[in-house]
Amino acid sequence: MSLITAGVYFTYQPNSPYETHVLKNINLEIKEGEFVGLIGHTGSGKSTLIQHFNGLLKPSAGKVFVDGQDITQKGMKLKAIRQKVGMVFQYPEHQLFEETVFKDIAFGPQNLGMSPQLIEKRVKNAMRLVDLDYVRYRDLSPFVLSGGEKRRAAIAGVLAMNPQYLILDEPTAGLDPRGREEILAHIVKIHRNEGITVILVSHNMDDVARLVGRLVVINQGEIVYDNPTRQVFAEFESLQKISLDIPTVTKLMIRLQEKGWPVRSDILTIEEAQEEIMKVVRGGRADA
Amino acid sequence: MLKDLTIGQYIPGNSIIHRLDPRTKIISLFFYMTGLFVANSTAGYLGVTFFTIGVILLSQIRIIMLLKGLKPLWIIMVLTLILHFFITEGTIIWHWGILKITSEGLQQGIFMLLRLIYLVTITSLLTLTTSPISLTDGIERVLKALYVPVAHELAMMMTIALRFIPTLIEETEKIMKAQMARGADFDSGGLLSRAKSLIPLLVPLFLSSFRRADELAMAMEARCYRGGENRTRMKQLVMKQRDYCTYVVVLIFFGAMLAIRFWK
Repeated sequence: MSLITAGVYFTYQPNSPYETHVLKNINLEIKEGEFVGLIGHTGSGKSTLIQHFNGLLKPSAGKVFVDGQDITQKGMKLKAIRQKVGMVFQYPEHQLFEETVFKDIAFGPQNLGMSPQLIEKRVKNAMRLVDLDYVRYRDLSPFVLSGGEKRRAAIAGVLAMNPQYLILDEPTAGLDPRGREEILAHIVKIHRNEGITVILVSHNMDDVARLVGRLVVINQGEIVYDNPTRQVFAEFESLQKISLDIPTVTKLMIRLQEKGWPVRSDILTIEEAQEEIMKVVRGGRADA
Repeated sequence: MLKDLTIGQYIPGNSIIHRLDPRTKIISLFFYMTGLFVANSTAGYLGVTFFTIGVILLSQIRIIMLLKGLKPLWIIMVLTLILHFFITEGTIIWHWGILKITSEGLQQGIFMLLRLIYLVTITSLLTLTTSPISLTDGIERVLKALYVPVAHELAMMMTIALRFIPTLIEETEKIMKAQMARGADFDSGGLLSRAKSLIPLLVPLFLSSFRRADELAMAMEARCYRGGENRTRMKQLVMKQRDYCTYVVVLIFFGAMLAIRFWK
């Protein structure tokens, strides 16, 4: 069970003066249960790539497989694929439209033709996953919610379809630090507790470093790295060349190294950094 | 695709048409349209056709861009053609059952079709070759010359509307995709269910338009925008020799159209 792209090319407006090759030979396999980060500069093609996973875009060449099924073939029932592969776009709160939170979250399940009882169950469950109290929120208009709540409601709208894969495009964009933490915590929880495979598209290296196990770096439509997170951020020099940053703590450790401290630089979280610094500091004291 | 709409797009260039004063272009457009509606004979349409092709060649705009602008109108064009074919009375040249095509109908249909195509082509040529800023300037000055009150505000509204067409199209596609990811279906079902399926698209679209309008108003006020009063311009519009030449050419065209129609 996996998402696979096999030699996917995507050309925007082919055979016209505006022809651009957005994706070039993308080969990727995302296995069930993984937590994958997808990073790349603006315009690198990452948003285009993720839209191939649920058939919103068709590759100009190459194939996309969802659980072994070729979704690029003709006559494919894309609704079933879109149920399986949930997609949360950037600023998902802009898609809210119903009178109540309940109705909006129920939109997806309804499109899948579920019974009212099942829909209610799904909505309840989805709201629980993003920590929106069912009784308190279900009859509120989605437009009176705060920014963070709106976004959670919108994410619930995708979760209510019970996807096995969840793709999130910049889910924390435009939120304050607290809202960001909340959303990320929910995503981690959904990944751990529900066993949903998550692909997280992000600009924020600090978030990515902390959360994902595997990191795919894309630049100008091509995959540059596809490795465990720690390994990717060890390549900070080449990352900088394609205008990508490294996590703040990693930067700190590199600076410490440059100043002559014998610390490791493949550090991804504040906790790790703390431990490493303490170790070196204590070690230094023992030597003295 | 919605993205193919060319209305309101501007393609920078350096052709003679690009460099004309916007007022010249607007006024010429008016004469051209009048000329186009005056034409009602083969000779007249030949004249318009040559003139149009000349303008397109001078503008150096790729013909494909103009054809794209016509694409969304194909239903109206086919309808125009068919209606004129079958409804106009006259000498019958072909019939099948109660359907009949007359030679007058054939001619009328083709004329109407050409009229439609030229109208759209030449108006999109105006926006394709004129930057939004100079277009506003031009509209404003022309309106002022006609003593229209609030000329500046009207012109500003028009340009903002034009400017936002591509943005709104992009927004529409984004929302459409987001709802499709939730299993929405925009292109199947009967008329009623299709109309209903537009609600998840239109509500967010309206909301985002209002949000954008708010933001834009705020940004304009933050830069001390207060309408047309005491407004000065960095680039003053000045008529050049090429503009006067254009007026001469356009007036000759217009005169020729009148002559073909009324001079016997």
